[in-house]
Amino acid sequence: MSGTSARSQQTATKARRTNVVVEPPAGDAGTLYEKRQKVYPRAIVGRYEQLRRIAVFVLLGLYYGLAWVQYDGRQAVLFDLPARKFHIFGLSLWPQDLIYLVAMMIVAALALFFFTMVAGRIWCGYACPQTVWTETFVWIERWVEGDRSKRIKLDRAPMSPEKLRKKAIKHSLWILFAAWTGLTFVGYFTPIRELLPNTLALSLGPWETFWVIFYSFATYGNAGWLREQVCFYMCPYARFQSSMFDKNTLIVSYDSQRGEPRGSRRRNATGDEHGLGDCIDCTLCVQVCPTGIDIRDGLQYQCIGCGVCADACDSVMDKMGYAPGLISYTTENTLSGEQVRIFRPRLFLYAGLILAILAAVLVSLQTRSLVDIDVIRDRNALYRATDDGFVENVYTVSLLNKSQAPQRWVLGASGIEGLELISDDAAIMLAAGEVRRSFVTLRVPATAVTSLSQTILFIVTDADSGEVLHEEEARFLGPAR
Amino acid sequence: MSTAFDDNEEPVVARERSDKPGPIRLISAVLWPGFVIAFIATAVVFSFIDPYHVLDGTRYAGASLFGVYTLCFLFLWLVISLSAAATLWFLKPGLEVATPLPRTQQGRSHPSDSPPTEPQA
Repeated sequence: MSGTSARSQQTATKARRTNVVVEPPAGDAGTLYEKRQKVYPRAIVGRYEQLRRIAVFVLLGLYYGLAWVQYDGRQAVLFDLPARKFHIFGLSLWPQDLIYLVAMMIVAALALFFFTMVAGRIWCGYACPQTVWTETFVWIERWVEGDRSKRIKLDRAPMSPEKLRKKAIKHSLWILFAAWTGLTFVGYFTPIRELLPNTLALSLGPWETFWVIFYSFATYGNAGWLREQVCFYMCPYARFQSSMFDKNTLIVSYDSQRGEPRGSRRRNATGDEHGLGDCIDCTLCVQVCPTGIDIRDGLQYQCIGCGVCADACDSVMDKMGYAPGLISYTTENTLSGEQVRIFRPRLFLYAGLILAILAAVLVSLQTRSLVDIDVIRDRNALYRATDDGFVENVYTVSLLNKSQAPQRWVLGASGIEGLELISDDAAIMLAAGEVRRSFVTLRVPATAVTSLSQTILFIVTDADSGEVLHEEEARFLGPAR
Repeated sequence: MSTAFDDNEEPVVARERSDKPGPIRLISAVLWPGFVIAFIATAVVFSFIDPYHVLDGTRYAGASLFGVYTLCFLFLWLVISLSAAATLWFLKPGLEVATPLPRTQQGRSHPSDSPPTEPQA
């Protein structure tokens, strides 16, 4: 290839680079990216909306309130990261108890499957933090800017002192609310009763400050700006909903048999007069939808199952003098006129698994050892043969009292005949949650050493009751026979 | 044609969506999985490792443990997000990377469509 053609090739490449815009698909405004259309959920009164409101108050009440509850002289729910202890009322969990956390997460996942199979995405519509905080942010927005049509008008209007004032108030309220949320979040990791005064005195540690700001920003961004996009693009659950649904699952659906053909008409006119179905095409169901979809298009992954479209439609049906339920929580089987089966094998499977894991966790929590022991052999010497006919091994033993009360323990050992434990402490006093490291020598008559390595047991007993609390295996090394 | 519920708005049309990911979707596809996995990884790592004992005796002894956890989390978030970004980048269809020429009048859209040319002397 000659120099000229190489250069022309280069220019061609350059030209191509700057010419990235390939033919836009029809209807696209010429940008590479789909522009998000802002959703302006309209206010609605109805029973599902009422339920959602209650859910918001209960869940947010728990979130903001629980941080302030005291139990036994400390914060009832506190994830004390530096001390590596999780307190949940009377229960204290340690890193070694990670298995309980995993078990609880499995239970949570199974419960999600269970409820989704029975009642569809009620988690999304009523309990998901994204939904709950978005709801509150929309309430604030509505309170400052007015309902849907006023908000649309305001956003379309050019900037004016009035618009600036409303936007400023809205964002200030959002930021305040988000800041309180962030502070509460960090309050679950640093005692909130110290955190709040420290924040007000501007003497918060750098990392706490970082997390308060980070979490506040996330709340503000997710609930104020991103909203339904979090459900569309960030939530894995929406994507596998269809694998959890069956024909007996409650889903929000539009009865197209009854509604179609849709069309507007005079008030109180029956559809038959115009050859129309019951849907008057008022689009109220679309206007109230928090994710901005049209439920009449059928089941969509964007539907969070909140049912406010059913509320809206029922109010319209009522005004038109029609029966409610054109949009309702119903099942595929009901719509096609078949028998609904609530009790189906999957239901028992999920319920059984949830109960089994919960039972296992409860039993295990009741019987779990309150002793944690860590035995490390001295790395410097394998063993020591004494002049008077003994073999000695040295260990570092760490004991942890996982209980909520001080304990007095005695450390012992067994496994080889004539095994003797030599330690400075007769009984070990441990405060609640205390870790104690001690050096322990085990001594065995040389005649009892039968192999290079023998298994022995460290035994922790209660000093007062003599009850064996814990046994830990270790190795005892000696000269080969 | 007005219904009792008309409030002088433009008619509502259910949104049409294309599969072309917007910037928010791309950013969340990178940062969000990174965030979740980094959170899980941090929890798992530190349920086995006590930073207090690891740092004991080093020049970082006495560092804020809250800070250690945070830095570890942020580091993992960064690294995992980089990996996610790389995945996304490699998933870009080949045509988008080798940007085709705009369609010419002859209807050719790519050099490979043109007949082979003799190398110049």
